Amino acid sequence: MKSIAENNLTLIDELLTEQRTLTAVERFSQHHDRNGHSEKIYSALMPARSPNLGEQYAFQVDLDACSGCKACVAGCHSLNGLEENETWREVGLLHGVAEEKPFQQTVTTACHHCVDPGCLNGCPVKAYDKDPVTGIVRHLDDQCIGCQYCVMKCPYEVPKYSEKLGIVRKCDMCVSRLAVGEAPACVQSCPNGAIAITLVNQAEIRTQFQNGEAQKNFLADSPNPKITQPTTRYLSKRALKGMVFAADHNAPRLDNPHWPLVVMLVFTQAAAGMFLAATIVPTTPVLLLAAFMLLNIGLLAAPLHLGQPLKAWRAFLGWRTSWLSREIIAFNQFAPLAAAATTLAWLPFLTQKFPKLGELLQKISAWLPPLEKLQLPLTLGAAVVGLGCIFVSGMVYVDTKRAIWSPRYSFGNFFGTTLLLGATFAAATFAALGKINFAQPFAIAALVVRTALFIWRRMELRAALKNSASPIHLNARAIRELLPRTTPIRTALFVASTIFGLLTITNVGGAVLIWAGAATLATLLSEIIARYVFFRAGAGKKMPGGIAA
Amino acid sequence: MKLKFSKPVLREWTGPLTEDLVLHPGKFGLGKVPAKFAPDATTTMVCGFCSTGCGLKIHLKDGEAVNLTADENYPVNLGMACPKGWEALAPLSAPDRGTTPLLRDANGKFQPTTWDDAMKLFASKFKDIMARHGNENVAFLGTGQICTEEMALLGALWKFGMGALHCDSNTRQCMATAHTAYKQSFGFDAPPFTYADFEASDVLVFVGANPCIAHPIMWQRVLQNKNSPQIIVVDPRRTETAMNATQHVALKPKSDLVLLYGIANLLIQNDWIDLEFIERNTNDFADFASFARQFTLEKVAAETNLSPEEILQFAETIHRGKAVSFWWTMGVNQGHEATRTAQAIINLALMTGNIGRPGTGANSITGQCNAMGSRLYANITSLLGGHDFQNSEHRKKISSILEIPEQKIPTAPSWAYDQIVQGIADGKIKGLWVMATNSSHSWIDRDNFNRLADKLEFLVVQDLYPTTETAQRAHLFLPAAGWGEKEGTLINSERRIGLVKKVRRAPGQALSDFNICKLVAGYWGCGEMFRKWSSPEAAFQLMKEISRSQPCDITGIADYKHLDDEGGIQWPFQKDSSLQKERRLFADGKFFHEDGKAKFLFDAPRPVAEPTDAEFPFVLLTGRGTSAQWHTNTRTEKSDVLRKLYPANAYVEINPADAARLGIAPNSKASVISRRAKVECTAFVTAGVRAGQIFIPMHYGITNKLTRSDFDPHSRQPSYKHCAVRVDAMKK
Repeated sequence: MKSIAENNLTLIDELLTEQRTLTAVERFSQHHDRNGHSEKIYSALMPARSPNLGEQYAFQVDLDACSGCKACVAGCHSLNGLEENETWREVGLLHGVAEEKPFQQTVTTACHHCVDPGCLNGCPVKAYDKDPVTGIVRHLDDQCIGCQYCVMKCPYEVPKYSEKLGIVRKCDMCVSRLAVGEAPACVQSCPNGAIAITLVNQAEIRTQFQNGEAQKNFLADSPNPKITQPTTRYLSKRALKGMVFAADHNAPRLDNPHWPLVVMLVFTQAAAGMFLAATIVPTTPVLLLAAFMLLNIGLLAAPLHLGQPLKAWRAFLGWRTSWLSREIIAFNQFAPLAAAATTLAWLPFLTQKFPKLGELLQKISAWLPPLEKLQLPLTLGAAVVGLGCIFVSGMVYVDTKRAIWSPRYSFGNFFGTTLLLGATFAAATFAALGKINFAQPFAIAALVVRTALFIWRRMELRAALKNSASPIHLNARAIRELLPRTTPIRTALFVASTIFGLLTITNVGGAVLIWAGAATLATLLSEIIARYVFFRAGAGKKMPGGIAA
Repeated sequence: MKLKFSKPVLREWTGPLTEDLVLHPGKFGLGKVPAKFAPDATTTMVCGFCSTGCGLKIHLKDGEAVNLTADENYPVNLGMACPKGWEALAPLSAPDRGTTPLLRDANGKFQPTTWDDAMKLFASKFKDIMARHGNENVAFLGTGQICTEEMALLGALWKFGMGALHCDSNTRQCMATAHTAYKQSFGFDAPPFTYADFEASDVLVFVGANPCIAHPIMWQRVLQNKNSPQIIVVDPRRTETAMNATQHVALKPKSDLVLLYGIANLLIQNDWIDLEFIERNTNDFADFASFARQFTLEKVAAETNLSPEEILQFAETIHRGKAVSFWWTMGVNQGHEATRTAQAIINLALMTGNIGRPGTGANSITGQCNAMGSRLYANITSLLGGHDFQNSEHRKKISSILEIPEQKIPTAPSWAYDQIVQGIADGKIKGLWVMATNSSHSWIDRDNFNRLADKLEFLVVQDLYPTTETAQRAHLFLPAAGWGEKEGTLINSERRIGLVKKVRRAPGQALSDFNICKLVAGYWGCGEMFRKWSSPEAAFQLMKEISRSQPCDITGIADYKHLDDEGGIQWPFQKDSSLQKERRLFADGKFFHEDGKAKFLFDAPRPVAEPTDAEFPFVLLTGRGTSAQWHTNTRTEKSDVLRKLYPANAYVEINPADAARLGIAPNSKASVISRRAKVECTAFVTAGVRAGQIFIPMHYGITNKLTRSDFDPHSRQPSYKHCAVRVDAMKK
């Protein structure tokens, strides 16, 4: 006979064993096994035929039927087997006053399978395909290099990057379900039948967004549909007739900082600026070497931004439409030119060090033009191609059509950095070489550019903060409210680098190397922060979001 | 960053990353499903969040749930689910699940312990307190979130086995009012409706209910109504449901009772009532009619801030309706005169004969998945099965079915939740066992509760997560298995008994609440008394027997398999009941009072306990925020998907006029101050709330710091829907 204590211990073991035994299959599943295939028919929510030429499939959302349950987001997630934190459909809220009554409306949104998809146009490796028959914009997951440029190019922020997978993924309108006449997951999971698949005429989509009514023909308080011509149609009898805004209309937000791109942009711009400086001052092997090294820091940082760097060799594929593809191609011209110019400048040193190299050059000199005459054209070539690269880099961001990344702001910043860092680094290099008479003019140039750039940036920020109607008002508020330390730090760095610049120019205490070095460091840091802010506060207009709290 | 070599082809149309999302035909009546989660079997079980009681088809692989879809054949949801249902499995995999019992050490840190030590401590602590002070000095706070069998075992163990008395459940916070109102009016706690009534009405009246987001799948049924119905929504806020109403009656907060009496008076004065029904099937109408006479149109208009036209239109719409259904939820249940308000709705249905026919009824939409189970079987207010502790026949019946001595069944009523909390304050309650509820967050004036909880000699919390606000204060934490990790039944709003199945293994040493109760019985030394409760299904057989001859008689249900085959079964269900999928009560006009008649019940409206004044000029309204949040968010916050569907932090909805006057910019921080606390949150400036009112969702921890302890005198349900606050802009 067991004691009570023993009995209790046995009970614990029994209950733990019982708890870990799954019983649903054994007890209940047979019954369900016998159920036949009872595929639901969503005929009213699906097109009766395939698209004709010039037509495509599109989502249609009946806002009046949507009551805000958000099942579409969760249904899409489960039925498509997405990662735990991955959702292809999102919901937001429009609210305000319409027809003299308080108004609120949940808005569901996924990929708009645009007529002119930004993601597809921006992709450097052609990892997007717009199906010629269905018009569905598909993402080729195995082609993707994880550069995330499509995330910037899509005004609706549809492609989602996964750190874990190293690629982006997005809604494919459940293409494989449509292929067998099954409704997409979101259509299946809406209790109120608010989401349907319809056929739309692509030419009509283009024209409806051509006139001044573009926004009204799409959706209130959302990205300008002219950019990519989204095909989703939002229908409503009651909605959107009044003053309605997204629930997060007033909420500044932060975007991905893209650190590898920050480093890449700042250092390649510094390098281009130094090559430019090198065209002014002849016989500058150290300056060229320094420029070449900075260029390489920038170029080595770039692939760190990719989720699938080993697939990046295909980056030329998208050159017809993608500024990112063009940027990669451009830098592929800049790098060898820069290498050639630098090597040539160091040739006398190299032949001295490696006599056999000198002999070799001697032998082939008959076939070569006089090498010393090549230096200026090569340096000049590198500088020009470098400046071209900076332009293409600027276009990468301008082409996203984000309000903040306007040509003025993008080029102003990128060329500003180019001139400023080119001059500062040149000053420091000459200071290091003891050539004070060369260092001083560059320090003066840096002082001028730095001051101009500082005043311009501050005026832009202030204007955008003051004007709540400015398209970049929220970006400015993001800088002030969400990155509050960046502005004072940049001011401090500006003051410090200006003082160090003045000390360089006046060569106080004969410590010009220290002053020029300090000015360069402070300036470099300031530009890195500027580029960080460029990305972090660079969010564009997006689809209406939920209450931002 | 992934380093993987690929063959040099220009465009890779397929490969491992593409394969990851491939869909395959799901079989088992499913369409395409993700290939990586393709099931080898499926089974349907009822969802464990709200009282809608949707059928979820669980996709099983090697017996374990890998995914789920909404069941097309389940009579409740017809293939649909809300986001919580879709994500029902996610909270089970949360990293902060409790896996062993935890005991607080001298430094206040939880340390893992064994079940043996935990149970020895549990038994000795409670026995010690009861020995020193008596059986009225301990209490449990239960829940509407566990299975009926577990509630029944807990209630029986507590009162019959352990000999303790006081206990209550979080259903006090949601359904006590409906329970009391029905019991007094109909003679039994019997919600009369079936969901098909949503589709059959030509007028639907929603009072204090926002089904669009609180019960989205019920709203689905409303939208399937083919009669182009009139939808009247009585709510101070312009909610999602009010947006979809044909008449939004935006009354002054807590003037609902006056409005409903005014509507009754209009119906009576215009002779828009069903006198035949009233005479045949009800009592006390004449008294009510003369009482209602004082609620003239002018008086009601003045007190509700509505126009006389709006009120007249409301009454006329009811009059013109051929099948009028009335639906209410927490806006009614959580008021200072909630029971009478619910009964004012019942009165409207009775006097217009809108009950017992398709598309009619005075229908309380339940909150929690098993509030109905708690109301019938928790052994708290009523003896098991809706019986009466004071009735010796009832005690005899239960004692003979359970084979326990009749004197083990107490005759004294046990304290309600608020009385237990007051008992702690008075030093009477010294030991507390909290199960599957988060009182530290959800109880009204929570800071007061927490101050008191810290005074307890012994606080045991039994939950899925040791991280809840309440568990964080416990001396002993017991890890519970969750929905999907155990078997049992839930009873939904329309009285449908549905099955929960074991499709996941509970983590570590977590045990079902049923098993924990059995363990407690063993260590208490009363295990023998519960020998018949060998499994949840054995307990279900006892519950069936207990229900015999009660209005909730379910003796006709054979077993779990029967419930599974039928897609749930509504009570009552006797041997000879026809197996219609959707059944309503009172088709014969017979109610459950002894004379078979329903009662008209009413009282003069009372002012709110804390009216607004110059110092606290705003009314604070609380309620559900989104369909993706459930109560104190302990489970819903565990799903990445659900977290994307609701605002991460607390916010206050405030009218643009008030915001402008107070200098509160949209999305800026504001502070909200009541006589209890000061909290900070983001301002959402929206015309959806009227000037002078603000709204904060209940899911955030700040909300119940502000609310004031007021209770309906009949149901003792807290009044969450009205207290006075001030709002200030936050200085930068």
